[in-house]
Amino acid sequence: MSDPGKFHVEREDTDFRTELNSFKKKYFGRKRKPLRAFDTLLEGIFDSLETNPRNTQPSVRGTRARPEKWPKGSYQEHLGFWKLMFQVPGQAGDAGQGRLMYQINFRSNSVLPLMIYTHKDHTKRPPDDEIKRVLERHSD
Amino acid sequence: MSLSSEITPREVHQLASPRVASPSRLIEVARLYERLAVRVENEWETVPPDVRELLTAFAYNTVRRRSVWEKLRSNWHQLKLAYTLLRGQEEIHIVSEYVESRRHLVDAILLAIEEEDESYQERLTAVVERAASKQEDAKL
Repeated sequence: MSDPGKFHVEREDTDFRTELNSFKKKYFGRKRKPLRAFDTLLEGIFDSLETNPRNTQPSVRGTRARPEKWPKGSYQEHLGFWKLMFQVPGQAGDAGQGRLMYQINFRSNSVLPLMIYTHKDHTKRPPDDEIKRVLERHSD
Repeated sequence: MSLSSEITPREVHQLASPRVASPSRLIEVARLYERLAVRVENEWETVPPDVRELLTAFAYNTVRRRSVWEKLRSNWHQLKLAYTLLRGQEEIHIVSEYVESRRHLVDAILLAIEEEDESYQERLTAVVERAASKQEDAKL
């Protein structure tokens, strides 16, 4: 019998699976070791979402979640919109900063993963020389 | 109180590379990181451009890819820091609080940068609409 306090995570959602497959292809390609580490990490994340999808404390896996603002006009009282930050195995820099967005349905006690990406996908990072110059300018 | 009246670019720079490894200084820095993280999460658009530029440089400098030499140098600094602090067992929670609060601030800055990206907003709106229509279909 399933635990009534637990949330059901919709791991097999078709749209999320499509997102996940392109994420894996982009960041791991044929690199098996980091891909295995990522799969293990994601399973661990899903397990923790089943127990408490609203945990804002940093976890032992180094993940951290926070509630997000809904895009304009899409707020619904029985839904929560959250983002979880994680380190992408085998990646460093901007590509190492992974994010998983998910929706919590408090009526059906379920979690729907919506989107997975890294900071590299949505950044206007200044060149490294510019970063160095800014830090040096204020060090005097 | 606004972020600009709380912190200057020079202070942000000093926070980016604190050299004094005393427990009390580290606690002070950790608390300031936390306060800054909350301000960035709630008021990023009102942060003055010079402070925003420096916070951006700080975040990218923290997560950038490093050469072997830079990693060794950084590890040596961290070892010295840990040695100074861990002479007393009770100080271990201070190190942990410092590391977590720094991580929280870097995450807050990078997320604020992502959310300014147009392609992020478009993608987000699309996935939320898709989830909403799925919910409607389920009701039918």
